[in-house]
Amino acid sequence: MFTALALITLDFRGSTGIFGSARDTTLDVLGPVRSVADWVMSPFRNAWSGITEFDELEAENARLRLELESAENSNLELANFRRIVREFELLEDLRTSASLSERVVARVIDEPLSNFERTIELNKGSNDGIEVGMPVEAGRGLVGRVVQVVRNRSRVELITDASFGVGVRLVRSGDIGVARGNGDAEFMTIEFVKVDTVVIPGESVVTSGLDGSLFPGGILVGTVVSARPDPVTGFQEVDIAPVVDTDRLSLVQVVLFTPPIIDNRPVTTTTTSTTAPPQAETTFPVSTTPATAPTRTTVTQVVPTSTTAPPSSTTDGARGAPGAPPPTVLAARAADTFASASRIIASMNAWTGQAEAVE
Amino acid sequence: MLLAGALVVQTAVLPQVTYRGRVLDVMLLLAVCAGLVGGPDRGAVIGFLAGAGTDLVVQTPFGMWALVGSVIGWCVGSVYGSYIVGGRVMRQLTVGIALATGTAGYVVLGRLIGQSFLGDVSLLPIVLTVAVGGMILSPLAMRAVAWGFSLTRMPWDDSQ
Repeated sequence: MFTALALITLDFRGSTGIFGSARDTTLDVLGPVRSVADWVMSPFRNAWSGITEFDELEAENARLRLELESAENSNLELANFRRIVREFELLEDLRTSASLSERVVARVIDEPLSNFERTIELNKGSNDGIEVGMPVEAGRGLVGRVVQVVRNRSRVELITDASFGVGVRLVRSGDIGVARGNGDAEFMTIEFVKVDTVVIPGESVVTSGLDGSLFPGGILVGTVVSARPDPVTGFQEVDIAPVVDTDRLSLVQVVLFTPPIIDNRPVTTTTTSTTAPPQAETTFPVSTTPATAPTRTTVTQVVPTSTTAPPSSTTDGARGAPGAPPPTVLAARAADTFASASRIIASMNAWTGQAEAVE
Repeated sequence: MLLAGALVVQTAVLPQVTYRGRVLDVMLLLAVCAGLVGGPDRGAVIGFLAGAGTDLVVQTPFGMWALVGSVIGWCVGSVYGSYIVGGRVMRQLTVGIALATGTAGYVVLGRLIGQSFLGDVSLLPIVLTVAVGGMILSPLAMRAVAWGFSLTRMPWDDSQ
């Protein structure tokens, strides 16, 4: 018993090197065994699923047939929308979008090992460029993220796992929140949505892709089911249904995305002048991409910087809270954003005019 | 050998046969049966090793299942024979209750050490699946543990 407590304490104190190596070795050793077992057991598993989940499968089959008919009718419209979005992304250099990241297709080779974890195992690993933390998607939307990687195997934490969380954005209102799994394959909960935000059932929810997020923006997560105010926090809690059925995954795509490192430390530089003594100027945080292998596409995001900070003897150069950009920098960023929005509107008008001319 | 084989069964076979996403817990069953068959000391040791095997394949802090396994193994070995006696049905009931207690204890331990997300899952279906499945497999598991310990006679067998 005391040995077990010591192990727990060691793991909490950060001695994860030994335990992580042991877990990776176990995953490596058990991987081929589990692949064989998966191949052997698949007929029995299918028979078992057919017995216990026949009604659900029948209903899902009917629903999918209906969706397929509807999807075939909107293919052309969807292709046009994708072209427009791509043009806007390139116009605004929105390189954090998931559409610009490479992907590795992997097959799901095993199901959750524990009743308290919702994870799956993939047949691809570090040899294919997969790293811990990379998002995983399947067809329509987000599946989860990679939590363990060995050479030829990787383990993915599903979005429905109770410990999973992702920054999301409500498409219609643009409001952001944090979506968390709860161990239930049917629902996730978004927290910290403003109470005055109008949430409509059926509204789409995508990853927000904000600075520092582990996920690129724009990956579909789910659709709104219901919303209720939380009297404790003063925000809304929104229940969403994941678009991906995490219980029936066979093929997934690992997005080879590495989030940019945000360095919030102010960088102090010194300028010289012929008429005045040297004054300290302060630049503001920039995002840098990690030094990763050049053969893999990484997404970058450039945060506007400004050298117009007021001279100050303090290293942070802030008038308000330590480390916060001064109002002049915020005004500059607001002006940049307004200019970008104006360009988008002009592009839309130009495209609309061209479409009408063609007709 | 027995523990390695059980780990292979737990990770390679049982995930293929789930009921509504719930899987049986053979490693915890091993700890309970070790307590029943071998007494509190062996139950604690085998429970610790079985739990450590589970810790190797899950993402929660290492040692949680080892602690739960050792405690459950020791408790079952201490309680059965001293305070609980009976035939096959009573043994299976003991196994079911011990499995349910161990599974719930894992959640409680998790919340105590900051793994609060463990409390967000629906515990009752998990406990029922683990307990009922363990009760069904317990006769086979007890024979396997007796073979692994090289026991020639079950502790409750007075025929010899």
